[in-house]
Amino acid sequence: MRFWQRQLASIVVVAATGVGAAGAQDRLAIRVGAYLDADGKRIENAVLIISKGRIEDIGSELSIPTGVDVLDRRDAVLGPGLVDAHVAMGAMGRTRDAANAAEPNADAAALFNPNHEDFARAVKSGVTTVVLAPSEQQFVGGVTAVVKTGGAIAKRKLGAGPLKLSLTSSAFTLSRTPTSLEGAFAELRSMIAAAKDDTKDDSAFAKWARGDSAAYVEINDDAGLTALAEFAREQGVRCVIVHGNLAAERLDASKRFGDGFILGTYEFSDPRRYTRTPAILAEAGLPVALTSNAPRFSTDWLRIGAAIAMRQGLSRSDALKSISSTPATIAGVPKRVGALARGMDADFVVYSGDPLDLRSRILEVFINGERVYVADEPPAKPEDDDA
Amino acid sequence: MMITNLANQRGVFGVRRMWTLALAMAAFVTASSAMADDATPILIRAKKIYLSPERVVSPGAILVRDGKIDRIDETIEIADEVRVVNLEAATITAGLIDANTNAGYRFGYHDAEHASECIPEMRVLDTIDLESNDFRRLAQAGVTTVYVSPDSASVIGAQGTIVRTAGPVEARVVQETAGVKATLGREPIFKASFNRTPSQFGTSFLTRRPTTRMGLVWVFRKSFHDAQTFARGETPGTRGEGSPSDAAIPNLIRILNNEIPFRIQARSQLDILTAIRLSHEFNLKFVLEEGTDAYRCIDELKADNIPVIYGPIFDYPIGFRAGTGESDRFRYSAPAELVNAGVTLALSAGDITGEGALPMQAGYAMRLGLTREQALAAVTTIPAGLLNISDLAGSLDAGRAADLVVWSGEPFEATTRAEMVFINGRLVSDRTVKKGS
Amino acid sequence: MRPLGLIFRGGGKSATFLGGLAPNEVVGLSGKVSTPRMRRTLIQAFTILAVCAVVGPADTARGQDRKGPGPVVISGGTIWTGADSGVIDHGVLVLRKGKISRVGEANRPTPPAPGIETIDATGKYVTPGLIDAWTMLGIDPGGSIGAAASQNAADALDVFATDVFSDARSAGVTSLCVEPPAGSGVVGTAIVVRLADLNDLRSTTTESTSLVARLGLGVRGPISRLGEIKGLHDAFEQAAAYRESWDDYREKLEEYEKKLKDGETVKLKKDEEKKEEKAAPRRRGPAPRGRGRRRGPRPRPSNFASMSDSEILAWLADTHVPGEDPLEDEKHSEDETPTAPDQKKPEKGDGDKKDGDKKDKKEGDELSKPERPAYDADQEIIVRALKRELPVRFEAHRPGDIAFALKIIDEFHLDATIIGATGAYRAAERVAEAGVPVVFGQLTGAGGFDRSHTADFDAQAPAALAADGVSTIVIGSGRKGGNAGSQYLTQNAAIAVGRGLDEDAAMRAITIDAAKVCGVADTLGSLEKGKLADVVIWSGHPLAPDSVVERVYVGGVEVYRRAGN
Repeated sequence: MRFWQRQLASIVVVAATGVGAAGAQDRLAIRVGAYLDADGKRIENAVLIISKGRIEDIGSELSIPTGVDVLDRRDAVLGPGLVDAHVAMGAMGRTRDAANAAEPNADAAALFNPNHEDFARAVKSGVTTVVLAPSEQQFVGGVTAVVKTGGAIAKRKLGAGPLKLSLTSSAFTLSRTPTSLEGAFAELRSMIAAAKDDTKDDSAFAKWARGDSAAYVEINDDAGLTALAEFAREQGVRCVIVHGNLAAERLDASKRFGDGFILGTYEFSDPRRYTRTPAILAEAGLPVALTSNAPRFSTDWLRIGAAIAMRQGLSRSDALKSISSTPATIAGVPKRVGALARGMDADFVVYSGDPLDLRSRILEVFINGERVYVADEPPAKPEDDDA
Repeated sequence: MMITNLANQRGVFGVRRMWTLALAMAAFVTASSAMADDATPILIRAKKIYLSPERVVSPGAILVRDGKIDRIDETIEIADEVRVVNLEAATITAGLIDANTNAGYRFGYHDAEHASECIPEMRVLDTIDLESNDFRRLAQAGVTTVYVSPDSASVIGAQGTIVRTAGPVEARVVQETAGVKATLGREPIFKASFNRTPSQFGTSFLTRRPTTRMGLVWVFRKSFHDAQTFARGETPGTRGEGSPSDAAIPNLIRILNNEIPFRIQARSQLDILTAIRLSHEFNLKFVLEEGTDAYRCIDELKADNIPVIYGPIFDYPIGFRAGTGESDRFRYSAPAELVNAGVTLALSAGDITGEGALPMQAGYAMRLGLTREQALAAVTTIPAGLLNISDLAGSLDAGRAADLVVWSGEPFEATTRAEMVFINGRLVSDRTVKKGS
Repeated sequence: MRPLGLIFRGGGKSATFLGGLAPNEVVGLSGKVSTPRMRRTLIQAFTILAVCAVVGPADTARGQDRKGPGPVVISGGTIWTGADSGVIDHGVLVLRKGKISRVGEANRPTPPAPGIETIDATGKYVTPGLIDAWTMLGIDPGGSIGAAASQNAADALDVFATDVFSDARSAGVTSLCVEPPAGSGVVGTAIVVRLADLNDLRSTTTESTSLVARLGLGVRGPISRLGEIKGLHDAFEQAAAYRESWDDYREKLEEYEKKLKDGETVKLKKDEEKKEEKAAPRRRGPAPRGRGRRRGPRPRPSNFASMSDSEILAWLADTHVPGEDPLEDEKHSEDETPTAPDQKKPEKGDGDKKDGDKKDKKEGDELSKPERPAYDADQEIIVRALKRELPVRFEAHRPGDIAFALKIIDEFHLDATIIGATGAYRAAERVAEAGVPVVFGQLTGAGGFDRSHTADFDAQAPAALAADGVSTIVIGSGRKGGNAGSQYLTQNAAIAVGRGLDEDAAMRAITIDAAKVCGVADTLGSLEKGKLADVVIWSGHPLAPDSVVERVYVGGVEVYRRAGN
């Protein structure tokens, strides 16, 4: 058990020498080898200054104000805290309503359990913000919630995200209405008509019905994409397609969903037919966000998914955006999270190298300027005296 | 020795297979490349052009320019640059129309609504996949326009739609609401999920009528009775279990006012006669779908001038048709008997979406009595008339968008295939260009 | 272990696929191969693939004739050799006649010469073709009910799934070790598939290279862990007993034959000889190969008397059904071929028995012929593992299962590899002490609901094992990779680097070390003079996120080229 002895020892060392997190203080400066800006461009020799949980300033030639604690990470590269666009953390398997398939006013935030172990796992993968979405078994699932995976519990909720609908086959059963896509569209039509009539209604569904905001619409790969495109045009509603992993094969229809696509989970077992989709959609100018579908899959797949999509032709910049700023934009929090820029929440990940390179190790994770994760030391090289 | 023989035998198959594959790929490649240069006018010279089943130009030449039929004449000589296709044996007809298909529509819990027996407010267009392979196969077989019919699981089903089988998705829909279908027979009772009588296992929305043919007619009557009552500005005495939903009423009224074309699917003589009786009760105009036993009701159909969308013609019933026993008295000669008796008849391949389905149906009908012109009318002008799209499809005329099929020989022969298919001005399938040329 | 590399016969036709099988396999699997149906299927396949070649898939073999590819010179790139020469920054690699004929520094520019393809790889990386040491690519995923040792992954390999293989190859993977599909216990044998000519994959597919045993997967079979462990142990124990019974039989038979020959007079002397024999160590080493099987149609023997002995034996090898004795009543000449004890493999027992039976009748009752044990194809395979002719791949994930696997390996003195090894880092020292190689699958975490055998997952496992002294660490695509996993091999290895594994070790894990555990290290896995020319040219470091494969050579033939290169 030498490995574990070493692990333990290293943890103790880290705990003893760790620099106090900024959460306790007002300001903190971090000097880093490089960081990735909102476009995925690498800015060398940068300094990040955190103040009250926000990024006060970030740039390459910044001078550090006096009296500010400085964290030296000059051998590391900083990336934005990752944003997972569509998860069911802490609530998996308990989100189906046996009687009503449509619950437009249900709120995923009500299911948020900040102490659930799923969130701790997410932090380890560098995921700092997630969009909690109602189950795909609910035809109109309700309102999503944007939450942080760590940090002070009081600061975890960022707010309500978009409305979530599901047109997957699992939303339709013979025990409640509607039982079919046909019926679902008919019901949506009447719900939309009612919402449009009532102009005072400011619920998420009404906003969506009036075309003021986009809703997450989950589908099975490509089925229903063309029908949905036609429906959206007719009703003037906006949709973000969730799980349209074959959307590239329906590119004409896909181009009509300018609000974006949430794709994934991309795994080491997916055929190219699926994994090339982000590259093709991004090429067509459509916003692409990735998801790990946690907790069904590990949140590790988010960053790996971006790497997989890159090998299929997604550009570096789009790959980074697909797991940071694009999901944040889709979820309605582009000013808070998803990029390293002045005024944004100080959510970031310290890597041993390029954030998009799987060889890079996540060393530390910060949320709201507070360090929430420190990696164990990697196992040491074999000792020579063994031989 | 044995091995050699086997090798030879398989070699023969192999060569055939190779050709099929190569041709299929060539067709695929050229179809896409041909669409790219739509700008070049195409002049096709053929043996015969059917402007409609009655009007024939022979020999015929047709010039397609900018997606429109520029000229049709016996010979056309033009000076400017055109692509000339000379096919001496070819026949050109209007694109075929199938007035009753299920293309792009998957039956099952998730696509056809089972929550109610009366769903005329729902639309099949919401469910069909316009990029499904069904459409691709139909287009390549020369079928250019189809009516997509909803599932038959409800007594009064959803709205059918008319779509083109190829072309850009946004230009595919011809008419969103082109009809509502009612189904008589056993399908609304059993299909997809069984309607139930109340039992100790509790109730659901499937605990409902109809569980018998009587119940089915009751649901039909109740629906239209309620609609009639509402139309008079009154409220029916009983609203509740088995009544049509509020959303259904406006569409039922539109059916009663003949604003939405109405269709009834019935196969057996019993059900066809029931359909006619119900149409008398509510003064409904309708088109009969499938009509396997229609040859047994010729007098009744003629008396009311009820058109029939007949088909599919099959060797022996399979699937649900076999299960219901409603198709047992099928006859190959039925189309000819109906046409010769003066019944308006369109042919349909129904849920058979395989390649050549509709041309094959016409061929079957010809084998037992229909003339080629009658068969052609049954897959072009007559369905166009029934679908109210005669000005768009079903016949050829200069000035119209090209919607036509160039057949390698006489249409509907087993050895004839669609060489070129134009849909709404676009060349969507072209087998005349071989790979490499 | 047999030199498996020899089995890669370049340019061979499918019809000769099983030509090199060991005799016992021929007996065990006869009836499955070379039937008219299979020939038909193969010919049909060729026709289809020929069409595909004509119509033009993305990567087909270019510029290859049957004599072998022309020379290729790759110069200027960074060559990761995987051998003693390490990394050559500005190197040159020469491929000739399907093999590597030179690796070294590019001291002077290679002058262009007619007939020699020269590739400027400046700024690029050149590596050996990657080897996925654990995959089920191209395997029908159907469960295997009643898994048996004599099952062979080759029988489930869909050689026509060319797109699956070409996807893997265009990601730099040129060889696969393919395991039988699902199952627990002793599930069959794995094969090595080299992705040379996808139209003729069989010619570069090896025979069984290792026995696969699984523990703790609980797919089917015994429902308790104790039962599973006992079942696995029993399998090896029974095979050992089976081997014993055959050895015993052979000894007795020899004794019996001698008695027949010499009569009772030499009885005393013979007993002494027998004692000496028993004291002698049990034969080890490779099993002798049977004579080459006849090609072409085999005559149906209407009359054995008209056939030579060798013909009869060859016929037997093809049609033998265990438990039957077709020559029971046939006349048979005295000078039977197998006399050396080495050649008395079980499948030849028929011949031996014939002699015995015949003589039985002649000589009368004072001698009793030893009873021949029943032939068992499954046991035969496990016996080969017990003789260390066939390595064993033990798939085990939980630390406890791994410990038990190590116990079996030790008890039966097996040549083994631990596969899966999710939780091996918790038993790292024991694995290191046992000196077994370890093959990992996907190095990614399970979801929050995974309570299965991979629940112990930690991506640091490869690094942790390396730190504790496990010398051979291999990374494959694993059972989760399904039918597409191999194309992600480099990314999987990159994850291991991210969790502390040395970068060079990670590269070895998908090349030379993988070749070692697959038994093909003498011909594949590194860029060394004389090895087969399976080479990949990358736009950058193979583990970097935006590197892509530019060209792939298998056997010196370019099999993939990226569009625009």
